[in-house]
Formats: sequence, structure tokens, C-alpha cells
Amino acid sequence: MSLLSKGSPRPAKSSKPRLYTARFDPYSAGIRFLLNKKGVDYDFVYINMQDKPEWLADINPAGQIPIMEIGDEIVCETIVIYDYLEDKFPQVKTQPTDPYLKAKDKIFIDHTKEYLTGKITSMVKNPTQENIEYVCSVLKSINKIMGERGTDFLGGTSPNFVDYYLWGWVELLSALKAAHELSFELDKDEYKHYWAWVMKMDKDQHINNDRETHKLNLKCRTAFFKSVINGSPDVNAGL
Amino acid sequence: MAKVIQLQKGDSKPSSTKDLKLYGMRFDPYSMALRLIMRRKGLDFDFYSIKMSDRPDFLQQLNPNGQIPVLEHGDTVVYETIIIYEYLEDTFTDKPLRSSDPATRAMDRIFLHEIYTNLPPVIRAMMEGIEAKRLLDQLLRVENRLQKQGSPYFGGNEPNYIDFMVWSWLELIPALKRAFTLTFELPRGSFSNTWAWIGRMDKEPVINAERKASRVNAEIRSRFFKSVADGSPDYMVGL
Repeated sequence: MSLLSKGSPRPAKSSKPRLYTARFDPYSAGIRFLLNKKGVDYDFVYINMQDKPEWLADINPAGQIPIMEIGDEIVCETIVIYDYLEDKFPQVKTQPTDPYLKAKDKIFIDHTKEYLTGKITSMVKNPTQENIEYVCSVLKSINKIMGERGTDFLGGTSPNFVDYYLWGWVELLSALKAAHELSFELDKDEYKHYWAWVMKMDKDQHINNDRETHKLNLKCRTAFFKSVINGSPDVNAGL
Repeated sequence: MAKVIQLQKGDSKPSSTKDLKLYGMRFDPYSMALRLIMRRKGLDFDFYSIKMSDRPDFLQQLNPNGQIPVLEHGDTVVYETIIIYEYLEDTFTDKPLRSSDPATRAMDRIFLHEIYTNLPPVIRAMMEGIEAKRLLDQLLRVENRLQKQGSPYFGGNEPNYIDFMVWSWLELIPALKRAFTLTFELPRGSFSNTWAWIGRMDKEPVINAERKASRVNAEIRSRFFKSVADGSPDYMVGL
């Protein structure tokens, strides 16, 4: 598996859609689940985000991943990529076709981005009681929304882009708990809808294919977080 | 002469015969952009200007964040500017204001994302003085993009939603200059594409219709900004 760092040449164009990603990056993970679900045959390269290749800034001035490259088309920003893939590969739908339901999903993602992802990120280095309580309270609102929707997944009978976006983030929580030896638990009754969703997502074939492709499990995720906490991130943890 | 209706604390949600209601604020660039877009799409709507310093209680029920703009379409409530725009575009498919090509659409979204992340803070900061370099750096994004496209508008030969969303922010600059006697000139030579675009947009029928309906011009806007700086925003200035 090639890991591209500073000094690595930019890889030659692929005949397939290509994702510039990192194994442990939650934003990319959501896109990868979605590509699997859409049945897109894609290839990927790993970017070493601790030591980025120089040309990364040429393809995305913000220097961020994920980046999707299809032929001469390069698209960055997670949400923009979701929309782009939906436009580009419309056969398997991963967003509602009803404008209102789509707007609701977009607002859900906006709120997740605003209230959840930053807090989970800061838990990596600062697992303070305050941060943990905040994350739990956001998950409680999510539990409520799931209860109101009353479906197996936020997307209905099967996961859609919102489920995959959210999963990329909440999947980190158990590894963060293990890495920091935290003892908080989300109550099975209080977070009933959330737990039911977690159980189903955990069995989703597209998520499991991704785990296989990128050799991801709780153990290597935990090892990765430990390495981040120690100040020398090991992006190859568990390989 | 159209009447501007302001809603404040104590006011109940207005009853309207129209299916589309936009809650915003006369001088708010986000709701301004949506008004321009709705006009351009030929939609019939009621606009309500919210007194943001003393908001009506029902606003919180429509949008838990208490922010504007909020769109009500029949029983459907949508908020967040870009999400409202996409909802309108998905629902009212006549006169589309975005590209039908997935890649162009993605590029437009990325461009707007960059502009909306970086430009508003710089323009807001003009209330405290001018940082010409910071402002020019941001306006350079506009210039470069117009130059690269080589078309009269971001939308090609006609303005699209990007044109209106960018315009509603750039239009604030002359008013801010006037309100706080700032000396800033966008260089004619190195920003020739931007200047040409400004000239075209300034003549756009929907922009002029909106100026009339909201009774907003550079002079009135500058008085509004002054009142904001004085700590008592006068949302009805010039009426």
C-alpha cells in the first residue's frame, strides 16, 4: 500500500475514479462507504497528513483530504464530494430525491459538523469530562432524531449519505475510549435508537468491505490514537 | 410602493396567502442573495424582515438556532442559506440557476464554499477599519475565477446563483466605505474582470427590483451600518 509523503511524486492518473484518502480519516471513511454502496470501482492512495506531499496543495489549495479525482475532474470538500458522486453516479441513490427530505439531511450534516466532529477531534488530545459530556448530549439529540424518523437508518430502510457521514465519526468513539481508558457508557435504554442504529451499521457490508480493504479494526484504531497522543502518529498502525 | 414588513418580539407568525415566505433581514446579505435568486426564478414570495436585536418568539420554533434566513414553503421549513437555495432549485426546477454538469456544479460549490468561508469575516471586519491586503486577497479569488472562466458571469452568459451569492456580499463594500470613511479602491487594472462584472450586475433587473422593494441603496445601507456600530441597529432606516 503506497503512502505518499513529502517528496513522493504525484502518482500517474488512474483509469478509475481515485480517492486521495488516509486510513484513519473519518471524513474520507464516509466517502469510501458511499463509493462501496454505489458500486463504484475506485482506486485510492494514502496521503501522509503529518508530512504532506508538496503537490497536494496543487490539487487542493486547502491541503485537505478527501479529494476525488475522476479523469480531469478534481473535487474536494467532503459534502461537495457527496453531492458530486450523487450527480455523477445516480443509479444507486444515497440522498433523498424529495427536496425537503434532502434539505433535512443536509441540515443534519451541518449540525453534526458544527456540534459533534470538532468535539470528537478534541477528545483525541483532551478527553475532559466536559468534552465527553458534550459529545454524549449531542448523541442524545441524534438518538431523538433517529427515534422520530422511526426507520432502521437515517436514510430509511438502508443507509444513506448521512448514515455514512455520521458513522465515520462515531466509530472512533470506542477506539478513543480504549486509548484513553475512559469509562463513560451510553445507557442502552436512554440511547435506545442510537444503539439499535449502531448495531445495524456495524453489520453493513459496505462498512465491512472498507474495514477489510483498509485493514481497520478497533485494535489498530486504538494503536493509532495512542500514537497520536504520544506525539508521533503512526498512520501504518496495525499493518 | 412595496412595503417592508418588520417582525419583532411579541409579533406572531404572519398569515400569508402566499405559499412561499422568506424570513430574513433587509440588510442581511444571505437573505438578500435568496431574494435575488427567488426573483430570478420568478417565484412569488412574501419577505419578512426580522428585527434581529429583538427577535419574535416564533423564529426559534422555525429554526432552533434562531438564525435567519428561514424559508417556509407550505408546511415545510428549511434554513441555512445554501440548503434553502438547493431546496428551491430542487423544488422549482424551471429556470435553473446552477449547471446541469456534475463537475461544473461541484466546482461551483467549492468556489462558493471558499468565498463564504473567507469573505464574510473580512467584510464584517471593515466595521472596525480597513485591512486592504486581507480584502484584496479575498477579492482576488473572485477576479481569478472570472478571468479563468472568461465569461461575463460566473454562470456563463447569464448570472447564476453564484453571481447572486457573491454579489450580495460585494455590494456591502461601498456602503461600509461610506459609513466609516474608509479609503479603499479596488485597482481597475488588476481587477478588470471584477469591475466589468460589477458593472453588469449593477444593471441586473432583479437586483434593481430588489433595491426598490426593500428600499435599500448604498446611502441607506451606510446609515444602517453606522447604527450597528453605534450599538442600536436601525433596521427600518430609510423607510
